[in-house]
Amino acid sequence: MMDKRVGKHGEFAPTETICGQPVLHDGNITRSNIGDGYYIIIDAFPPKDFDLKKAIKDVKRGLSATTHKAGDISGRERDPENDTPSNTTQTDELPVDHNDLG
Amino acid sequence: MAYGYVLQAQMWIAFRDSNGYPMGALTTPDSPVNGTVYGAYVLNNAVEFAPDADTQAAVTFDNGGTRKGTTYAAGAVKGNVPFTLNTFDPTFYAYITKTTVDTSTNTTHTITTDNPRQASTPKFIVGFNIRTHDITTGKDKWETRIYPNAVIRQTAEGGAGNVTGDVSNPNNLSYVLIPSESTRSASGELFSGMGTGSFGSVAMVERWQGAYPLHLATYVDDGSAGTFTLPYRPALSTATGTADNNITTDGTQGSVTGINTSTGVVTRTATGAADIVVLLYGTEYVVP
Repeated sequence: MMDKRVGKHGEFAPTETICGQPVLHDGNITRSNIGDGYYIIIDAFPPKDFDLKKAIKDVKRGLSATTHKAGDISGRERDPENDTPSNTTQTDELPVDHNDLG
Repeated sequence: MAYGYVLQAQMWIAFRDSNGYPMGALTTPDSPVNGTVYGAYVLNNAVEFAPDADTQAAVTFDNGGTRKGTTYAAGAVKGNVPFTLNTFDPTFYAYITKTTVDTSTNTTHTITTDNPRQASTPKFIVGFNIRTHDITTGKDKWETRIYPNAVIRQTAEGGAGNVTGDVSNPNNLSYVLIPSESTRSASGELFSGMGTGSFGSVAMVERWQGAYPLHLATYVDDGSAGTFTLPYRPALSTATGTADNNITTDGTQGSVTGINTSTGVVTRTATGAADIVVLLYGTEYVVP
């Protein structure tokens, strides 16, 4: 099931911001690409102590798990700090530069 | 061509980065996230704006009882622009005071405060969409009046009184916009590359007249994505960058592959990461 925080350009819109707030579709929203035509909406004022980088990383990992049902296709080495081992889904990330995220 | 002003519609503000580019609602405009669209923040609660008189010092040479010559000491300086909102907008207030809207301390309340020790002043690019009537052609058009380098402060907080009869817009809030000159247009292009001919290639105000009110959005390229979505549906699909939808990349006008008027999706070939794509485009302010 697709994360409620994820939208796809021209196809469907997210119903929640990256912080989990309801999206008010009034145009005053900020869309940020997360790869493969998908995007998230960044809150104007995230809650204090909210880890935006981690949240975006989690969304992308979840999206990757949803869109790729096969095993690990990336060929990269596992990151023991950030990767969640799974026997059923692979956790490859979408090709976005994390250094650019805030 | 001569046109008169009829009414004010949307007002929008965008944070201005240190190079003069608009960065929408990004409160840290010099640190954008690549791959993100930053739309100007739209205020639908603006009641009016009334620019103060411009000032321009005249120098005359009078002798022998007659005026021999007149010149201006300098160009005209734009007056401040007081404007009025009929409702309190916490987000807008937080933008101009460099504070944040706190919805997490108490999840059922929205908390804002003033900032009496505010250490720096954010710069904005501000647009007013004004419906006009062209008395030469008899057609209604739109002027988007843009201040490409402005600061804003609140001058009067909303009060409250005893309402005893029908009233429209009671207890308004007052603000003032103070413009400064800019070398860069809100469109992203330098004034030196445009055809207005202002001396020194700077301006304090620019007026774009056309068939639709204009909105301002900035896309910061991530070097890979081929699509992004505009905050509001564009009225027209022209993708040349030089007509209808004005498009610049790092300050230079140029085309995109396509603009969808239903979904608001812009398709383009990614250029380079962190490239700044600015769209000043006509819209009826319908959310895609």
